[in-house]
This record gives sequence, C-alpha cells and structure tokens, in this order.
Amino acid sequence: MSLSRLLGTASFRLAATYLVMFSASVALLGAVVYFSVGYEIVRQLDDRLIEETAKLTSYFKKNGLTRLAEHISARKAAGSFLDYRLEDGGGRVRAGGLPAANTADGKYHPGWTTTLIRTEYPDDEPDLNREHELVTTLDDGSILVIGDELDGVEEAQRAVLFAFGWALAATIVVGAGGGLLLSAAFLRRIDAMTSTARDIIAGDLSRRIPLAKGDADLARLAGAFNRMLDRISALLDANKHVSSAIAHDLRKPLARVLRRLEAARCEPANLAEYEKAVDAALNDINGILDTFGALLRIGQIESGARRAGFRDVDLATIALEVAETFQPAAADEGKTLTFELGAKLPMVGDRELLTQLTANLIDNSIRHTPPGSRIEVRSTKNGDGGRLIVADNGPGVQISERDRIFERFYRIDSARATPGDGLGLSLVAAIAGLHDAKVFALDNEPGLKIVVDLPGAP
Amino acid sequence: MRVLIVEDDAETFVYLRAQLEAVGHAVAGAPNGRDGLLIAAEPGFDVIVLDRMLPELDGVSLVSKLRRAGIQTPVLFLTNLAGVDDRVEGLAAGGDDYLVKPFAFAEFLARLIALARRPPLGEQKSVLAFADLEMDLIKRTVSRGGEEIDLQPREFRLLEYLLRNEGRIVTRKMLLENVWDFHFDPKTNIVETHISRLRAKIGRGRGGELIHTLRGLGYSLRVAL
Repeated sequence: MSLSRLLGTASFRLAATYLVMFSASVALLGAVVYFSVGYEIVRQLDDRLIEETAKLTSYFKKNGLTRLAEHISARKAAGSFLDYRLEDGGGRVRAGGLPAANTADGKYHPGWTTTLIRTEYPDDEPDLNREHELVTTLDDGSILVIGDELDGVEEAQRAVLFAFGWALAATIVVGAGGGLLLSAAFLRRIDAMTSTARDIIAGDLSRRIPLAKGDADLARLAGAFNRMLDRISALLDANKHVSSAIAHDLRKPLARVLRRLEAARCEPANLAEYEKAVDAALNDINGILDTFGALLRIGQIESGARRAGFRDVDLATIALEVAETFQPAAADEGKTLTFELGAKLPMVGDRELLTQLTANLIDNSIRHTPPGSRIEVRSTKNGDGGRLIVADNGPGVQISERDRIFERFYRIDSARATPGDGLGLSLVAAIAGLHDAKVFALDNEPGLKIVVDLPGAP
Repeated sequence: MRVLIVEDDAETFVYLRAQLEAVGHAVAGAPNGRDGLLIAAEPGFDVIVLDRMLPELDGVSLVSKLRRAGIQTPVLFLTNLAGVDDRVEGLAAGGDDYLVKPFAFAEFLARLIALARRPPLGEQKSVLAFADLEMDLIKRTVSRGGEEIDLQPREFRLLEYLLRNEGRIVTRKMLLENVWDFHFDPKTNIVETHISRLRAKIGRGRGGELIHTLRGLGYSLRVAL
C-alpha cells in the first residue's frame, strides 16, 4: 500500500478537504481572538488612564501643584503600576519617572500618544517598551502625563497566537494522520474486494469478501457483493447441472432409437415389424424434441421478453378453466380433482403462460400420485397479494428436495420411474419468476402442496 | 388443392413438396419473401405456407401486404421459435394458423386441409349439421336423430370444432389450441378423456360411431364406413 495510493483515495481526499476547511476556521477564530483581545485590553487600559487623569486633575484643583506632586509620588510608592510625569509651566519635572517627550520639539502635547521608552530594572536587561500615554494640560499650564506599558497587550496577543498556533498544528497532525489511517483502512477493504474479485476471475468461485465489523457502508456493499456471488455461482451450478442433465437425459432416448433402428436393420422382419420400429423411433424423437422445446421455452420466458404482452388477468378464472378441463382426465386416472377458486386473483400477466403454469401444476400432481389420491386447487387471499395452491395427498417430497424440484431436469428418486422430462416445475418456476410471483413447495401432511404467491399491489 | 410454399430452406421445401405431391396436391414454391409475394398474388392457391423468417421480405410483412391488397388466401406460418409473441404477431398480421418446426408431416397436412377448406369469412351458419347430428349455435343445443343431448360447455366447443372440420383429420394439437386455447401439450390425456366422454354422449346407443380415432394422427368426424 504505497503512500501515493493512500493520498489518492477518495477517503483521504475527503479527509484533506475537511482538514483544510477546519484549519482555515481555526485560523480565522485565532485572528478574531487575537484582535479582540488587543482591542479589549487597550480599551481597559485607556479607561484606567482617563479615570486616573480625572482623579488627579480634580486633586490638583483642590490642592494645587505641589500637593499633586507629593500625591503622585505617594501613589507610585504605594505601588501604582501606572507611569507618571508632572511638569510645571516652566518645564521642570515635579513628579513621576517618565522621561522627557520623545517628540520633535521635546514637549508633550495634550491628547493620546504612544511612545517607545527604555525601562531599566535593576535585576534585568534594559528593555524597550511601547507605552500608551494620556497628556493633559492643567489650569496653570503644567502638564500631566499618565502612561501604561503596552506589553501586557502584546503578551496577551502572543499567548493567543501561541495557543491557536498549537491548536492548528494539532488539528493538522490529527486530521492528516486520521485521514491516512481511515484511507488505509478503506484501502485495505477495497484491496480485499479487489483480490477476491481477481480470484473469482481466475476461476475460484468459492471466494467471498471478508465482512469486517463496523464500517456499515462497506459491510453492506460487501454483503450485497457476496449475495450476488452466491446467486451467480448458483446459476453457474444450475447451468452445469443442466448441461450434464441434457446430455444425460437425451443420450438415453437417442441410444434407444439407435438400438431400435439397428435391430430393425439387422433382423429380417416383415413390414409390420418395420413400421413398429419406425413408430417407436419417431415417438422417442418426438420426446427429445419436446424436451428441447420445453428448454427453449423456459429460456425464452426467463429472458423476460414476454412482459411486453402482459394484460390484466384473473389467475383464479384461468385456474378454474384449467381445473375444469383436467377434472375428467383426473377422474379417468382414478384421482379426485376438486377446486375452490372463488377468491379472485387479479394480476398483470400473460394468460397463456399462467394457463400453462396451472396446467403443469395439476399435471404434476396427477402424474406423481397413486390412484385414489385427492388433488385440490385453491385460491386464497394472502395479505395484499393472492395465493394459488395446488395440493395433493400423494407421497409428497422430502424436505431436502423441496427446493430442488424446481430445478431443470431434477427428479426426485421416487419419481424416476414415472415418465416425465423433469422440466414441468422448472417451467412453473420460470413463469412465476416472470410474474414476480414466488413459488414454493410445502408439506401437505401428507402429500405435496405447491404454493404460488402473487406479488401484492405495488 | 394448390399450395404455395414460401420457404428459403431448400431441404424443407423439397421434402414438403414431395410429401404433398405424393398425396395428390399441387405445389408451387418461392425461395424468398419478394418472389413469394408476387406468386401469392396470382389467383388459384388454396393455401399459402409461409416461413416466418425469409430473405428480402419476412413472413409477417408479406402476409400484411397480401391482406392489404385484399388477398384472403389462408396462410399457415412456419417458425423455428416456440414463442407466443411470434404466434400472436403472425396471427395479428393476418396469418391463419401457426406451426412450430420441427413438425410431423401429418400435423402439417391436417392443418393445411383445415385451412384450405375453411368456409369463407362472413359465412356464418347458425346450425351445424352432420349425418343425423345437429348443433344449434344460437340456442346452444345439440341433438342426434331429433333427441336432445346435454353437453358441458367444453364438450360443446369440442363438438363444434369437429363439426366445422367434418370429414377432415383434426390433430390433438389442433384440438388443444382451438378448443382449450392450450398452446402446449399437457402430459395428462385431456383430449382423449374429453373425446371419449363426448363419444359416450353422442355415439353409443344412438346409431353409428361418428368420432373416429386415427392412431398417431388425430380424430375425424365421419360416418362409419
């Protein structure tokens, strides 16, 4: 799993996009905090300078310049962290430690100013600090300067930058790393699927995609993929089975024809015997042709092309006609065919095929039950859809074989002696499939019950 | 009867012609749809046999051109496919019957004769009669020698079909298709069963047998020889 493949995965690109967007929002938030912290601290500082100036101005008005100078010195001594400078009208410094004005004319001018001052602490390196100052001219012409260092603001802003810088870095590291991990996991799953697919292409149809826990989307996809593979391999198996069944089932009658014709050819016989041999051969060949015809018909039905001719029909009415037609024939074979088709089974379908579906089911019951059996054709409601049931009390079908009886050429052991091509129920299944109906075999206790469940109203 | 066979497969054509001529019918042929259309337009054919797939002009187009030109000669379609869509399409275009290859010659001949002798369209009889058997299609009654016979609806339909084809051979398949609308061959002997019940009702004890079984071919309604 190379890095370039990782970086190229859809999940990584998604993660990267989120990462860029998230980083940008962290940076934006940082900038907002940075500037608002600066603005807010400066505003508070300015408020303090204005307040102090107002206090000292009123103190000057009450007590005069000399007392003000003493007052300022006292405040500084009391630990005020503000810086002061009081100059009288003649320019002499009366109090405070702020240096002379750093202006062109060397004088303070009333109003706000920001200036660079040098601070020297005894136990520290000399430092340059920016200072915000409010300059006021008192009534007697003396000048009061109150200032505060701006390094608090800068420190706060540096702290903000630092915090957000780390946050951004962590975001990028976690985001990119997480993206890579996710992509790697994703890629591993995809690689598993790809290698499964390759194995299947190479011929190993038993392979299935391993289902990882969690990861609902991919697990669903893998599940669907596996079910598709099950279906394909079932179809392939059926196909293999059909091919060998065709070969097997057609060899027998062909061998019989061969034997009959050879015998007729070799043994001296009269015309009647020749005719008999030819008739028997024709009969066998017709059987083979019927089998091919049925196979072609199943194939044609399964191709789904017939849906174009679907009309509104009632399966119960169709079944009634078929049952009435078969009733005397069943009676001739010593079986009782009854029907109860009062419940309508409206559906969209092909009348001719549904006729054949019903006929094949009844045919099947008549052929695979002993004389004296009862066969019942019923229509019932089944939720939204309808249900057609053809049931008998004959020998039934083992549970293990009940699904298989719908396979082409499948014949249960007990039925091998009965004539039949093993395609009747396959045709039923194909016709049911074409109509989105489900057909299945149940135990009729005793006997076989075939149920055709029609799809409910859409 | 005079038969036109439009068939591009020479082997099939030669075989059908030989068989038809052997039983005394005259056969003309065309190897493709275009020639087939030209010949079919000539008068005097009793029935036309049309392969469904033909070079130059396919069978369905050919028959619809014929019908548009007002030529009503009965048409029997031959096809390789057992598809219902094919049959419906062929009949809708103006074909009269349909046979899937491969078929037995007897089946083919029975259908040709049934088509060729079919009464022209528009001639609607309300009473079908044969020997002393009489069927009233409007009152839905059947009598033999003046004595009324009670028939089930399917038996009625079966007898009606036999009456309409009196004297001709009708095959099992023809009966399945025309009486029951079954376009497949059930394993159960429903035709035999219904024929024998019908026979029991109209035949025995009422004079001669009318419905005759022709082994391997089918049935025929005729007076016993």
